Amino acid sequence: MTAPDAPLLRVTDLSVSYAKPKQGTHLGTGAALHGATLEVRRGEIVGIVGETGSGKTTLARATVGLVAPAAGTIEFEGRDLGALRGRALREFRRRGQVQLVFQDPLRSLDPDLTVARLVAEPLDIAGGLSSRERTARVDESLREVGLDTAEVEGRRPRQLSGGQRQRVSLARAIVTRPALLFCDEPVSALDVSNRNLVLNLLDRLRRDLDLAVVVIAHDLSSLAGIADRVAVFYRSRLVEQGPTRDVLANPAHPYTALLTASAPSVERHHEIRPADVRLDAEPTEARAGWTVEGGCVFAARCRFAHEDCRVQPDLAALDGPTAREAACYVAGNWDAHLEQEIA
Amino acid sequence: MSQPEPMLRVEELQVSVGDHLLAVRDVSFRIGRGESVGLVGESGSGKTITCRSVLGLLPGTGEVDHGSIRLGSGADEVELTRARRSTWNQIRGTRVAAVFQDPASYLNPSLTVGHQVDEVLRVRGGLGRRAARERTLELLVEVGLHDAERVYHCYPFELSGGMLQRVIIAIAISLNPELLIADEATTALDTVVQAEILELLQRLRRTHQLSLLLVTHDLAVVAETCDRVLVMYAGQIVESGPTAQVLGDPQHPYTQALMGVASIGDWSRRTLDTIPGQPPAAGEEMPGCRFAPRCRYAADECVQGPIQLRSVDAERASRCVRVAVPA
Repeated sequence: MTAPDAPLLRVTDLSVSYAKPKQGTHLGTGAALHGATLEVRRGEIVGIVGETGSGKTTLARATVGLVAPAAGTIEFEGRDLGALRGRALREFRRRGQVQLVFQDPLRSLDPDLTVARLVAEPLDIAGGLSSRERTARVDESLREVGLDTAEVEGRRPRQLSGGQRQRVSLARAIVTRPALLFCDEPVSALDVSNRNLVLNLLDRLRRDLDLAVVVIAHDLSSLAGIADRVAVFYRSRLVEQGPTRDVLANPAHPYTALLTASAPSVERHHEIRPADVRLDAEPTEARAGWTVEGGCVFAARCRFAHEDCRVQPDLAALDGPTAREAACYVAGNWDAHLEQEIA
Repeated sequence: MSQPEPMLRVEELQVSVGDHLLAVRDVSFRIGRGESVGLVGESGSGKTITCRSVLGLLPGTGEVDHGSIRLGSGADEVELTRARRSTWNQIRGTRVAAVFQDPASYLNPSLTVGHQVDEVLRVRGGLGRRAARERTLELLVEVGLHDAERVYHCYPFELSGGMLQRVIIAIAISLNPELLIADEATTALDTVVQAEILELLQRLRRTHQLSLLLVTHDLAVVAETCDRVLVMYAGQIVESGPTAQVLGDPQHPYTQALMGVASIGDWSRRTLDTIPGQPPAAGEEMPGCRFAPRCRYAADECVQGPIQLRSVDAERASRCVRVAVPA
């Protein structure tokens, strides 16, 4: 058993590569994730942001065991998942302790199955329950996500609204009573109103079921509403993480700053404009070269890049009252550079 | 303030789709030259059907039942609801152009993007091979693809979503249209790229005197980019007016509800509002206000008869009985 305050999921220095690493070199050009570190506790929601191709989905896939890590460890309840092989791995998957929820329920749910069958399927795979118990669990899950079993059980995905479909996905994910839910862009296919409905539901599930939840999203305001902590990825690297409000209101990494400045909002609460933190001129070939040669992943687009950035900075703790980390030489300090420049 | 010369006038537009289901009911609005107007609503609100009517691209079962859509003014004015195919061929691309979500699906995967911009300039613009190529390179630079020579020879799969959307925008502006419709053009893009594309559209609006109709489900997107905003719900415009006023002091309960769910950019906000209930099904008939079942202010008078769009002041209107008509 793990200690009560120990993280449920601890990802340490995880690297994943989709191309075979060449001998004697680093991970090669196929590196999809590079030295990612993440801890998630029960009852906690951790948000993950980053652009397409930044490694968010790869992290999700590695955590549920769909891709094998090239380096690093993924510990779940103190067990290294990367070390599981054969029967042990199948057994772990079958128990459904870690569940993945996909972005588009129309594509991830079998269109020919009814809601009752869709939600029962993970239980059929896990086995060990009588038919009556399964029916009871399906009913319980559907109620937990706010759906009326009698109303929806006979319908197929096409016969549900977008918000209902995503709730069916969630019912299916929680039916095995998992400890960790990994949601890959669960709301980006939804309207704003349904989006908040699903996010509020995730917030309730973590409280009702003491779930650990990881939410991948590209909409910062969604995360601001529910995530306790947020991790920012850029080009396969974790560049910043910390408590959501601190990170969004006071970004330490220039990429996070660009992200928060770019987020559309009805009122401007942040004074920094995207142009203030973006390298607006032609993307410099030379700087792009730095990244390829092992420099900072953000160097080509960073206004504050300098000679030091030819070497990728490590993720380092920041000074301050809360636990924050960033991988930048001017972490938490880039705006001082900005003021100098403007002055 | 003088009104800009109207570029598009939509009046009392009514569109049905499928089996005579009304998708757009009594929609009227104008867009002035160089003006940027946001059309905001949830999916199924009729915003896409409205802009497809303006483009003459209604789905097979769609039909304009009533109303008019006039493009341009004076001698250039064309009535689009009665336009024939030959008229559309002269208008689409040259006077009205559009950019949609998912740029990759609008490009041919087996031709280089340069070739596809060229083609429009040669076939529609009448340019020769060399002139078209030069103009394509200029256009690519203009839409922010600085490395135009390289991008010209790229196939769509070699470019990111943001770059492809820039290519699509280059094609859209290649024949100098008067009106550009962007239907959820930034919805599928990353936050940073979305901001860049919105900036690009604003820049083109200024440099090309382009009128812009920005269709989106996100009020936050129109907040910083549109002069005026039209809020649509269940086929009707429920509120219209200058963006700052509509967002600063929304009159219609639906706009107020939308404001509650929009990104307000305040990172310390910890509540995520929702709008209770569901919008009416497509074409569903209701005697009174179509938002009444979900409205917290709904009263008897709301459900007795159709609610007209009422003027709040000279520039604003709201389809709600609670609007006090100024004395």
